[in-house]
Amino acid sequence: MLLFRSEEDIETWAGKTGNNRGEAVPLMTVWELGKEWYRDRLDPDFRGLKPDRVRATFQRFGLTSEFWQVP
Amino acid sequence: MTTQPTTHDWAIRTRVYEFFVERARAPRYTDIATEFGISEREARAAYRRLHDAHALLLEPGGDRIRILNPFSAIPTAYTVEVGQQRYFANCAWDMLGIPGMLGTDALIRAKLEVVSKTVGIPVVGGEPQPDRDYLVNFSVPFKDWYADQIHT
Repeated sequence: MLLFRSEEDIETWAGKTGNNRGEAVPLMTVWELGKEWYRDRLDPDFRGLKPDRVRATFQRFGLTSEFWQVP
Repeated sequence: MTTQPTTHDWAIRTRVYEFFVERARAPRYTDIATEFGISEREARAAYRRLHDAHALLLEPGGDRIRILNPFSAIPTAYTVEVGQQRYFANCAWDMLGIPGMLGTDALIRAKLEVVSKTVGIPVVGGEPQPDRDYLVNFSVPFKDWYADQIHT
């Protein structure tokens, strides 16, 4: 996951590198997503992220396209 | 054959995270063997089981921890300064995940693509204070994240 100034910069980067364009998410949304994703990572009872939780987390932040589908 | 981590392995995982937070580096399995009073062979096997369970990522073909999400055990273009500690993050998501996970203020420094410059993003009062509306681009769909974590 890389940092960009704008959608235009992402297009430029994808064109130059041949990488997939993927999906761009505003930094402050990624901040909130990261807090939820890692909130219990230091907890001794943590046993990994279960698919249901990942699905619910993506849903909460509006990440609902095929790109974010959880197998 | 993949074996699930044991309860003891998960206790090792917890300690690995504590060690990383304290020292901004990953413990070798030999460090863990000493701390837990187990053989190096047992510690190495525990690392392997935790790797297979995606609880950490070992170097390809090796025994050293490469990724302990959100931390990177090797230098990257994303640093997070917390007090006197400087952590490396794996990517532009994890650079936010570190202060988020630790619940602390920080100074993030990150490579900005295309213009190839480093930008600072302070986290103050529990919130990032970016100087503009940056975007984080996810180029790999979620279903493929664990196929190649190093390049995801």
